[in-house]
Amino acid sequence: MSGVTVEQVKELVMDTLNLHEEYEPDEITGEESLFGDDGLGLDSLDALQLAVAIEEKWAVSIDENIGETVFRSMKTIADYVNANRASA
Amino acid sequence: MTASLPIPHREPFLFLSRLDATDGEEALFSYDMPRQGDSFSIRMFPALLMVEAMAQAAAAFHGVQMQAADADAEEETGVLASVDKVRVSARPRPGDRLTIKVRRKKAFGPMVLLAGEVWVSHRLACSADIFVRRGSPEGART
Repeated sequence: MSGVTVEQVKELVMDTLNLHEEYEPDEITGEESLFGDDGLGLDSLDALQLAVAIEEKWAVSIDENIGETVFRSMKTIADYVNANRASA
Repeated sequence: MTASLPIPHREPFLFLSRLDATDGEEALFSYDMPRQGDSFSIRMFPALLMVEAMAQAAAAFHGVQMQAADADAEEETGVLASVDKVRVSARPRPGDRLTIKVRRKKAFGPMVLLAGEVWVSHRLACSADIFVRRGSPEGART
């Protein structure tokens, strides 16, 4: 099973949250913060929608207690999915 | 359960008549639509009001759970955050009895996702994903 890439996470995030009108794909590197004014500015509703989308696409459940760590950036999401995918 | 539901809505903008059953994961409500000629009767029940009924059911379910948990007033409140994936397949008519079902799908931080359904005579009339933010409206901007 090949690993999930940052590019795939970026595609999922943009599709799930309808970010295509706000950002060009090249504007997002995968390293920037997802939340807060210095990042993409996502909120708690976005986090829940992302958690559901990740569970549906890669069968990886994200515990809400570690959500802040996992959702730090698209790279941390990809790392978490790859670390937990086989055992999901 | 016929006691008043833990939501502020009142007729003619209340689309739940009673809570029929609940457990930790889902709740079933009924709504007896007024018959034509009754006070507040409407010829058709627009799809938007079925969405409103599911939102009211989600709020009432949250309130019932918080009351059962003896939560404080702050935790008892909730705010409708979003509605998504609305599907409409039938329109109820005056005099119909609606069954409104809400099922908790996932909670994440302050947000809760519930699957809502409206049934009329064993036929699914409407479904949607309902997002509720737990807590007071003042804290709903994060």
